[in-house]
Amino acid sequence: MEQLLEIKDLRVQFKTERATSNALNGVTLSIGKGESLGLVGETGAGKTTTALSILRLLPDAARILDGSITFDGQNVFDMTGAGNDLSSRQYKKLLEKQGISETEMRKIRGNKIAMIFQNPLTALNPVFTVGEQIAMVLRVHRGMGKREAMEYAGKLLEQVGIASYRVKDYPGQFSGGMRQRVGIAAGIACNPELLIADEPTTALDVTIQAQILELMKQLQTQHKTSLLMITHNLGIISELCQKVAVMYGGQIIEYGTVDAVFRDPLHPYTRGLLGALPNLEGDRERLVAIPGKIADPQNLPNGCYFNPRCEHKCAVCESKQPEMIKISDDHFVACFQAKGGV
Amino acid sequence: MNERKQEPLLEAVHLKKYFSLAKKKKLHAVDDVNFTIYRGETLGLVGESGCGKSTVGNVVMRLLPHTDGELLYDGKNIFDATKEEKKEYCRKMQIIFQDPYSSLNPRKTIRAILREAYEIHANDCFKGEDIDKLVERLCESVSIPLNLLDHYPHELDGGMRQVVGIARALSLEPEFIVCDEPVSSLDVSIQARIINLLIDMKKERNLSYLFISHDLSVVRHISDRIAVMYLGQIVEMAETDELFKNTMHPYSIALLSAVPRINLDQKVSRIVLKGDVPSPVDPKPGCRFAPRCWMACEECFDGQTPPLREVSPGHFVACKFAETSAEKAKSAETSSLDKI
Repeated sequence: MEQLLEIKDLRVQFKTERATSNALNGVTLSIGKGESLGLVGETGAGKTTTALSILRLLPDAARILDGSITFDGQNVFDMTGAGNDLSSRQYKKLLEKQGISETEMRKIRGNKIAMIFQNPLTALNPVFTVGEQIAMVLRVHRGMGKREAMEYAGKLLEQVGIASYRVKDYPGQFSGGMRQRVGIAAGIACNPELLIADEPTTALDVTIQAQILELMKQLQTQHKTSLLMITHNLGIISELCQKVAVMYGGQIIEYGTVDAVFRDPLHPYTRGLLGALPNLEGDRERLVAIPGKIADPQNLPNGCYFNPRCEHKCAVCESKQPEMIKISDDHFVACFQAKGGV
Repeated sequence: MNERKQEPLLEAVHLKKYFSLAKKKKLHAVDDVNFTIYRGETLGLVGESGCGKSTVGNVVMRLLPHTDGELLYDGKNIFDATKEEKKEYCRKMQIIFQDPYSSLNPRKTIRAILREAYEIHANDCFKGEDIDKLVERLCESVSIPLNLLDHYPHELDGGMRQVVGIARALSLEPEFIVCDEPVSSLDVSIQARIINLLIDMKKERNLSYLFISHDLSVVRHISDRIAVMYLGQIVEMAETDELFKNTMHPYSIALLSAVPRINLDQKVSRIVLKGDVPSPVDPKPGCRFAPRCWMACEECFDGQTPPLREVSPGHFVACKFAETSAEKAKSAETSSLDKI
């Protein structure tokens, strides 16, 4: 499959006066054209940071220490070996030099890569009508006139199941589920090649979540958009995605097709996650909780980041970081114990 | 389990809670809710946001005044309790809140938080006992490390804070605990630990829970019986396995099919409900679910809301078509895609 997005060995650090937080510690990931990838992980695993890096929307406190991102043949940035001893001015210069310019980047954001945010209440501007907000995307990227853009915004709203006359309403006049649809309408306005959805249904109720998921499924089959779905809900991944990447401590620890990973999870953390979920079917067995705390990005352990919580750990896990090993063409795992399957 | 069921612990009879709004409008948060919780049993209460499930919990704990109805605890209406009796009910009934970040006082140490309940009851049931010893024993029972006692809540992670919340609820050795979404703000790996702790405590102390949650799989895991709420009313109530096997109310069917699940062998088709939950302010006559229901006929829209009726032993449904809904659901599912 032709690759659309490639992330290579990405390292991102957040630095404040009080503490340094290693959010991403070598993320390597690729998404093919028309493919949907699920990114799972718990709080602080680095899911959102990965998404923001792709769009170059990281906050000022963040530093890309290493790694590169290529999107559709274009170099979003290549900060290989940048390190953390640059001044902020040098850093910004380097970022512009090593990748496409900010002006070019703006042409990509909202056009070729669109993002749907977690909280539909804060993602929309309360003082503009939803029509104006969708039209804004079209006027910037498609060069449409005001009236034409508004008309098209109405059509987009209908595509996501909202009556087109509501373009003149403000976000406050919509319910949570409808606001998220408006967010999706704005996201798909320019037929993006990659849609990043950052926990799009976490703030919504199950029946509304089902509506949004059906909608995203439809859009994906209709427009062949690639999808990066960020969520902590393994059920959503199983329904919507072909591939899945499990994150822990700012690294991808298991990657493969949904079928391979969920059927035969090899990393102890993935197995733990699946075991910790209560089921809707079958016997009600006692849940297997993962002991200990989620890895703290401000104070990561030596060796494998999961080793303090792992029940299979041995001496090498505490001293060395495991590399991604290939189990089969559609299954990769970063664990010393996983060779040949545990 | 059946033997235990003989003894009702808490009974809600026609429980109502309306909130008054401007222009004499009334928000029907809880509208004529009846349920019984037996000793040693967990009743799960599921529903979407705004359906009134938390209000039920708050009214049961008397954190909100009720509008009408009775709440019988051991056969006595606790709404007419005297001051002394109320203090006794406070001891017997406790609540665990959803957000462990806002439910612990940030200016008190964990020790002070856990001591408080003992201090209030120092003159009745804990007379002559060393409170520090009691706190330490309590911490051991829920495995809070003793060195955390002199820390403040912000120094703990979400999971540990929720354990402190649970310990506080358990401190007075209650008989009944309202768990208001106790795990919904926690990560999966932590959530499992809290669920296990709640189950262990229930077995150890023969507790009864009213377990409020929007997460069906969590509720299924912990409950003996489940009540499904929609817009202030219970629409279906049955034993857990019965409810999941023979789901009858159209809303429960849709709710169950809406949960995304890990199913590798077959693609599940689902019923996608149209629109949003209507407003609970001065609701229209007829069945509350009718505007979103795929089975509704004209008579569903007028007259009384359908009452809860016993369709099979212990299985209550508030729908005229309860017996035929499951079959109809099968044909509805296939056509769900073009409905949205």
